[in-house]
Amino acid sequence: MALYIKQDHITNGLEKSIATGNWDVKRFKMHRKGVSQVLSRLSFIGALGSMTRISPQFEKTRKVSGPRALQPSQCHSLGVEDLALLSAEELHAPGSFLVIFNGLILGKHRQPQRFASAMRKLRRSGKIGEFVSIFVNEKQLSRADTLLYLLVYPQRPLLTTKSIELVGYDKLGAGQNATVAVMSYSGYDIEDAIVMNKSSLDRGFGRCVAMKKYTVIKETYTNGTSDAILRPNKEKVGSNMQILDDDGIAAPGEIVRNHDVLVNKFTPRNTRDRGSRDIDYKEAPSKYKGPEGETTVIDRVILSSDTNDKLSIKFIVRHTRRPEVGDKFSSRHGQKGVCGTIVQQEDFPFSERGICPDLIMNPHGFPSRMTVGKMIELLGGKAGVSCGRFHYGSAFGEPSGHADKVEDISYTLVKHGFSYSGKDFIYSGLRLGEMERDCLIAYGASMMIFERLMLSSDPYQVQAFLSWNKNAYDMPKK
Amino acid sequence: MAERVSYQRFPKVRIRELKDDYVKFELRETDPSIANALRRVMLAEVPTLAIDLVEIEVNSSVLNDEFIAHRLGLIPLTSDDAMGMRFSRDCDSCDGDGQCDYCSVEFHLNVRCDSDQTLDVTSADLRSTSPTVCPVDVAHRVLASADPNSYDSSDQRGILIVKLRRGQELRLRAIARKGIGKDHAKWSPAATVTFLYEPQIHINEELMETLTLEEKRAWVESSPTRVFGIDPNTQQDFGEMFVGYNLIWAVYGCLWVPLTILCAAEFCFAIAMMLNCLQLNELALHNNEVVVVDPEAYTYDEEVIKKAEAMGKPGLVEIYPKEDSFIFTVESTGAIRASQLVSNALEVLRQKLDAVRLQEDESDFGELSAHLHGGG
Repeated sequence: MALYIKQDHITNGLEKSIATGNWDVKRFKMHRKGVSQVLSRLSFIGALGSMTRISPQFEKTRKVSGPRALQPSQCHSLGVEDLALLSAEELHAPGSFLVIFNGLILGKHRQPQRFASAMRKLRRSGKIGEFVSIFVNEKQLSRADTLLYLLVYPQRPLLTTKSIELVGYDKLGAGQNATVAVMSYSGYDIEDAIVMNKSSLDRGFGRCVAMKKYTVIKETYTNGTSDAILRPNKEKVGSNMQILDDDGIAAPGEIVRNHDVLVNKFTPRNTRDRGSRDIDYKEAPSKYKGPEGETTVIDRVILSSDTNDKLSIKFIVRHTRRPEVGDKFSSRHGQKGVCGTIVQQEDFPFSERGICPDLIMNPHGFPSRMTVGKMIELLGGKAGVSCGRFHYGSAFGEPSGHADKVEDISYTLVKHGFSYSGKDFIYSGLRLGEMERDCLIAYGASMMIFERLMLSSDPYQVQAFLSWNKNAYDMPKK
Repeated sequence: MAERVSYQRFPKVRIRELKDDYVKFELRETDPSIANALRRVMLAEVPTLAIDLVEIEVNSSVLNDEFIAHRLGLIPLTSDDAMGMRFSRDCDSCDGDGQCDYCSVEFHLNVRCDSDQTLDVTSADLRSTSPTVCPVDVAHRVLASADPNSYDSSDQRGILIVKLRRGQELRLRAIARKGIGKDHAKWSPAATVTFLYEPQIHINEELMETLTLEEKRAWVESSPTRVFGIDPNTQQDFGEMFVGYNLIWAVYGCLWVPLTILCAAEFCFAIAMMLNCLQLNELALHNNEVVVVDPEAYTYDEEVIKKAEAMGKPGLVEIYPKEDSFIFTVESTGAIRASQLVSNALEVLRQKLDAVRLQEDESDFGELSAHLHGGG
């Protein structure tokens, strides 16, 4: 009977479902997607995000309420149990190391290096499969990720919440504290755009390092021939081979520009039939393609073999980026916006204490979004810097006095000589241009126009002939 | 031809506080445009030296090359000679590669960690080829060690560049060049430059007398900064004196230094050096009089005005910014002394105005100036 029954039918079905997330029962015409979810372990926050992800209970094909509306079906889906799992202080005790197998915690160990070498010995003696790789402390920087962004000066947020502390997000540093002015400035801040202070950018605000992977494969062909990587002739003019080492591969630490050769590669002309002994090669250099004028650096070069046993050369290319017009920035409340313009510090508004903001946001972003949390953060952050304490930004505060109410934050602000509302008086030397003048005319603010265009401009006196209705210097010369 | 009306004014400067890295002064009898021009020039156009080119030989530290180069650039360097130096783009005795003394200063850094303890690489490890140019904290320490009276600053470790663990090494050559803050903030000698319009505060005394002590107190408290106060033990009024406060100027030396700095617009700045101390008037005033303790603490937040309106007493106080007097606060990064920063800014401003005047003499302005000077 066993001959007629497919023995691994259930196993195969489950495996397929787990791999794809599709649950198909043809008999009941049931097609469900997303039964299993991806748990990315590339970074701590990424893994946490994957684990805390929730999806709506009903079919996505049905009509549902708007994209940002709350779905009451998910109320309280995060419970005490989850938080207990997250805090897991025992696991992170100093001097203890987690043993992780395929993303699962197996246990803890005191001497990771010894543990790893013991495991490697087991692998060598054939007790563990030869394809099991054993690492101690595999980190972002020892992997070869396709794309990795690193913030140059990460900071701890001035305003935290309990859940941020539980997750340890305040120890990770994924953002920076900025001095923000919520005001209208220059017109380059409409539609959620932000105006940034050039001096702040010079000093490292918003700077990030982007690491990108480029792979070059030394191909082998059906006729037994393979690519060759040769020592470069650097003297050759216009060959762009300045950054190559003697082995024909670009060296780490070199500045790489557009069209520079990464690998001095040659391919055989004949890759089909097995011909003569001497193989005729043609030039096939792998060149770096990037934006013109951008200077990137080769961070690391990794030589390894890929799944087909071909030599693969991986270049991790590093590029330090400072914010520029068009880059997108966001606060923790999803108030995102692009950088509309970058302004010199001397053109930026300043307070009489000498405080100059890092960036300016348009106030129109607030009323319709109703991001009260952000307004609390603006207040709490300001109070935090002035009193040197990390404030809590939860909505209601706590009767225990552990978390701060807006009232407490305001009290701190007043104690340090600020307005309770967080508002500040700042000076600005902005020009009143023609368009602005038109606005004032349309509005009818005649005294404002008079002040701006007459008094604050350079006053100037001329002799005039009242009867002729002309200025003296318009008169014909005698 | 009638005489031209002159808008020339004679601004006055009075220095209130003067330290190496801090100066507070009043600028009076001039327009906001002049005050703002001075502020802008101090921030962005007074030249200093900063590391601009870095050639890294060995870097096995945890920070990448650009990161270290950026950090090096932000270290303030003593730049007392910067005004006399050349911009490397204008330098004709070299091609800007740091080989000449007119436009550049070379630094070397060579550190290797051979112990099990983490090694801090700081600005103190930078070796300069010029005796006058070095990181400001190093210069400060040299001065402090020469002076036996100063406090012991041996525990200060300099500006941290990077930390090394055993076996890591950092070896580089850096070239400092002259530049201005407009090009990059690392060349800005100013940490803070700000001014405020001096507030003129008029308390309506009659209306104030209608308030109870409690109300007065609440009103005084409504200002986030301590601008007003209540004087409890006073009885007699003070006649014509400016209401509420009296500054007793402790004039140590009224040195009128005729530092005539002539701008092209022919402004003459007379700098008077005075030390002052604010003292509350202990003399006679009304009982529980509301007095202005510190008018300059007022931040134009209008809290007191709003409070007065909320109490049903609009017009209790009137506060206007004085349009022609400014109180400047200048803090230097240490690259140059704060006083030097102000006078260098005036020098730069004068050079800029000179450029305008030369232009005017030459070209397009010909017609305009003919009009201005009465083309009759």
